[in-house]
Amino acid sequence: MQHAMPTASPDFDFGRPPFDLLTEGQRAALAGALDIALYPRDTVILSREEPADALYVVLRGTVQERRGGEVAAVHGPGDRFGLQALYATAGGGAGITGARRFVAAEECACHLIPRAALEALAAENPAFGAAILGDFAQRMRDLAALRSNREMAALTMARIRQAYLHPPLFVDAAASLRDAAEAMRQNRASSVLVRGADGAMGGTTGILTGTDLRDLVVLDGRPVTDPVGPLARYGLLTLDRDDLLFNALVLMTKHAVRRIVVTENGAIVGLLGQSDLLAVLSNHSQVIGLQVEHATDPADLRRASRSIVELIRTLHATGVKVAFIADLVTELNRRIFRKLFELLAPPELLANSCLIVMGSEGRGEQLLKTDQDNGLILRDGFDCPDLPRIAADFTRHLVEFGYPPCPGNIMVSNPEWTRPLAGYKDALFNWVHRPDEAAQMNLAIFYDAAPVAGDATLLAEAKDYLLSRLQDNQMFFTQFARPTLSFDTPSGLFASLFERRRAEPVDIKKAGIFPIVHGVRALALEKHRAETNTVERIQVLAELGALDRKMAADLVEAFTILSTIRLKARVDLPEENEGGEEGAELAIDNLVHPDRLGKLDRDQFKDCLALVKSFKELIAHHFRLNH
Amino acid sequence: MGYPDHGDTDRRERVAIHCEATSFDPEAATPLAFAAIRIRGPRILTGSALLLHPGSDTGLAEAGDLLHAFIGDRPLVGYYLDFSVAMAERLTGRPLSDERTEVSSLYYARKIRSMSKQAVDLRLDSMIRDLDLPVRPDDAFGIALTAAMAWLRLTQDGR
Repeated sequence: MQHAMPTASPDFDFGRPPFDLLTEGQRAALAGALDIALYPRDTVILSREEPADALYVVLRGTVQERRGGEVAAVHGPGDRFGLQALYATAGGGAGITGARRFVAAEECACHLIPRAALEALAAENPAFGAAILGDFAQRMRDLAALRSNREMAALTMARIRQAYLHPPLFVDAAASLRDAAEAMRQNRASSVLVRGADGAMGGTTGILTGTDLRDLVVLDGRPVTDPVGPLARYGLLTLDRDDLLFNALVLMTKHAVRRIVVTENGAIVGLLGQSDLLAVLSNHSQVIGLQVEHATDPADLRRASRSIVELIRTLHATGVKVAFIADLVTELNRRIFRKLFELLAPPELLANSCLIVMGSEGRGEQLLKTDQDNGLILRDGFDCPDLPRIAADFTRHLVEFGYPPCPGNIMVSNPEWTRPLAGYKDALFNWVHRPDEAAQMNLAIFYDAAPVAGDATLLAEAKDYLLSRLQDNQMFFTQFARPTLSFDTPSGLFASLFERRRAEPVDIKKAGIFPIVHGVRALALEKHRAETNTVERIQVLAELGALDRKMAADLVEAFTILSTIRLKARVDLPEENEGGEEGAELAIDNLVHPDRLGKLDRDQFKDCLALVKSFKELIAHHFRLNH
Repeated sequence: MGYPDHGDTDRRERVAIHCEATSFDPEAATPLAFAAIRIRGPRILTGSALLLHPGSDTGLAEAGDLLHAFIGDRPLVGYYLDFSVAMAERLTGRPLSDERTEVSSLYYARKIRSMSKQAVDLRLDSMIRDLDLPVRPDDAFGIALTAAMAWLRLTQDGR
């Protein structure tokens, strides 16, 4: 009896995940079950008091999601909402998400998927069910998995495409050996491809290498006027451009050759040499690690440091998880710092000081070369007359390596950050008891410090002192936590009404990453924790019960995703001035253009920003920032 | 319950109907299709709409009973409603609610306020475009849906 005609109803966008997972029949069933609702501007579509009986999908207009007084998210056409209301449990998720309301920001039309229809489809199509009903963390993971399928899975999965290919150099079968040698010399090639005499159309192609020439002419004494046709070797070893580099290595090893022919759609597009293949694989972290260990002067370190950027590109392109990249890069950077310090500092300075890195480097969250944030703690009573020169050298070399100087001048070369332990204690005392903006920032980055070289106990002692000064000073923590809220976390960028706004870039660091890092830092400091890594801090806070477990899991997830998007935005930038100014490569630019993100990334980005918003509210509430 | 911010205090359900027939003379026309859609608050219940082809997928008497049961005594909404109601009453053999809203007159009343003396274009397509309704009036169902949407738009924001 219920024969709604989906043809006449406004088309529901089945191309949009997760609805694209539905079969034809399931789509028809869903289309038949849809209701449509129209809302004038400023109407409350859904609020807490009112249990939802349907999932809402915006058809026209924009819907604001408000939490407390704040706009937490904006949903535009194709976005769905109301699922949480649909499955709101009595106890869970209360508090933060408490007063949530969905309000029409303009005239809106929504499709409503009744709960019964949604559940029937979810039961019938588990993939769809999982995609639509999974909780936040689950939803994030599914989307991420989907993407990693599309891209590639591991370091060993690098493609031939990523290596340099030599353009193919062809000669005719009738050409003489001399012609072949001349062609090689002119093109600085080590081999030529010989077009088979018969059947020019996809006929046989052979190869003649420099070694072949030598053997034929010098050893066998053939006249250089002999045609290459009969002398070339046929039965080329070919691989497609999208084959794994690893396969190319296997093929070369197996046949004891140093080059293979690369094809694309069956046509020869180039030659892959053994050295080019190794060049790609040698960006491997172990190779860089060795380079660092064996360095005998800063120039060696510089080379190693520069290959880190290539390593990041390769790892990212092959789909390696961002947390792993961060670990690796942190480790390599620290090894470079340590080695450089060891190269520059005399043994007694090494024994009586501790080189520390702070900020993101201290937290182990640096993905690319960001500003230097480093310092040196000297043992009380130790004096090194040469120190200013050594410190200045250290900073200068790092700048040469491509680590930009710290704009706040938090560097070893600044005497403020190269001082005895007692001097650090004085500074810490002032930062805690006379907090101004600079003191807050210094304290924050110092709290993230990690030892890199020298005597690590010096840093431990300074940190113990810091924690002992804190006691339970509520005023202090309120001040300390406040910057968590200093940048707005936008959410209006998805409203397609504001096409212009949509194209506006978002500073992902200010809007997403910083609030998480600093909020978590404030909570960890309050609990006197020694961990410096944000994810580790979140985990320990969850264990202590200072963070709700679900919030902790969601935060880790969101932090990882935001970091990935940030790295991706960076790495995917076109390589404009390749070979240009050193240190300019992969310069830190925190702007993310939502309109340039893929659909999956944009969905995740949106969810993450919404989570950051609610985390900020938690922090505001916890530290009473609103009073 | 209900939609507290929906300015309209009338929370009764309404039914948007449309009849497609062989001619526009209600005395002589043969109905081809009836579409009826309930409206509850801001929500158009397209998922449980009624679509009948009297004489083909149901008998005439049965169609009349279904239609009458579906509409009950709910107020009616439609475009060119008089014709649809006349056809429906002929089919059900009983009178329907006499609380009826012709969306084109609602629309006319709205336009005449702003347009001074110009003629108001009451064609369905023009109205859909002007009210920016996400709908395609391709058949009886589409036209009933259009009427439902137009009614909501015109009664919601007018307050």
